[in-house]
Amino acid sequence: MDVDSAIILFLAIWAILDALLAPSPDIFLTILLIGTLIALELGDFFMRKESKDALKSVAYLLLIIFAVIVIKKIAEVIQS
Amino acid sequence: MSKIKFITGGFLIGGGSILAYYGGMLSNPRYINLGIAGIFLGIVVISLLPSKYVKYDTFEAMIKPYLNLSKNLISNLALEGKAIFIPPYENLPNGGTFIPLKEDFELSLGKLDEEMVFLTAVSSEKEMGLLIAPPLGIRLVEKFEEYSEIDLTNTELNLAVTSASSVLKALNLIGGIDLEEKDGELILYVENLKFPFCKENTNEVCEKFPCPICSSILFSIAKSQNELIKIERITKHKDYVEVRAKRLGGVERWM
Repeated sequence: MDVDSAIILFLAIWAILDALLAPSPDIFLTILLIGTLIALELGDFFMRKESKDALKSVAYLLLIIFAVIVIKKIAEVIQS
Repeated sequence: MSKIKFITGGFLIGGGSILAYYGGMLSNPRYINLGIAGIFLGIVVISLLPSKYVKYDTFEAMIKPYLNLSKNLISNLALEGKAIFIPPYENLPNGGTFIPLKEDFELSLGKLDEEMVFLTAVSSEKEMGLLIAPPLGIRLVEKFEEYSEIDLTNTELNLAVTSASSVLKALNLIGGIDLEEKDGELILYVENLKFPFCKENTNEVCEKFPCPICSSILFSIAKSQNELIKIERITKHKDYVEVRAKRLGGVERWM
């Protein structure tokens, strides 16, 4: 199995388990971000530059979503 | 492969979007999560799966005639010396591999250039030899640099070997590389070479005309150390290939 396939398999297992176990989409997306960052860190030396860039773009997108979730939570705490 | 990649990715994104929408309508977080997971995996599949594959049999059929050519070249030219890896310098900006005619060789790097193949217009037989410039495996070395996002020139020896090991492993060419250095001699253990036909070549041919895999490893070492590296001995074992190489000093010493 090549590295790209191993990373896809890891992310698939991570995402499905996360989807089934996370109680809300916010927590699901946060754990998905953690999984993507783990895959990036572990596969850093073994991945093609294009694959790394693609995965980084996904991580940036998840980071933006994470920032929105954090802002939403802060707003909720302030309002309550 | 490319078609399958886009069909699978498209199916995951499409299915995921429908499931997320359906989950949103029912206010079911599990469906929403699974839908987003589908979209996420679709994007990952489209962007990660490599689109260019060559069947192993095709690759073997293509590469074998080159191995036979290298065997014939070595025997017909009666080259006695073992391969020397030259790091990039003014005359050879991409570096090179020099195979001396005589084991007791003399090398003058000032006489080499990229246009040259057979070095014969020299005063002594000891200076004659075959030049391969750029060296075989240079594209693999470029991949080492691309994957690790470093320039191998003047880097640490261990970093160069780690980079070569990781990338060759990622490309499914070898199982890994171990390095030892004893009394100035570099000993590399190239584990689990994935190509059985590599073992068909005799050690003698490999020492003089190494394949792109061994060549790329040794050239990356030469480049990182900015030193000439000469193969001393290659021994093939059941699960690994042992490569012994010697440092010959920097380019200035051989000018």
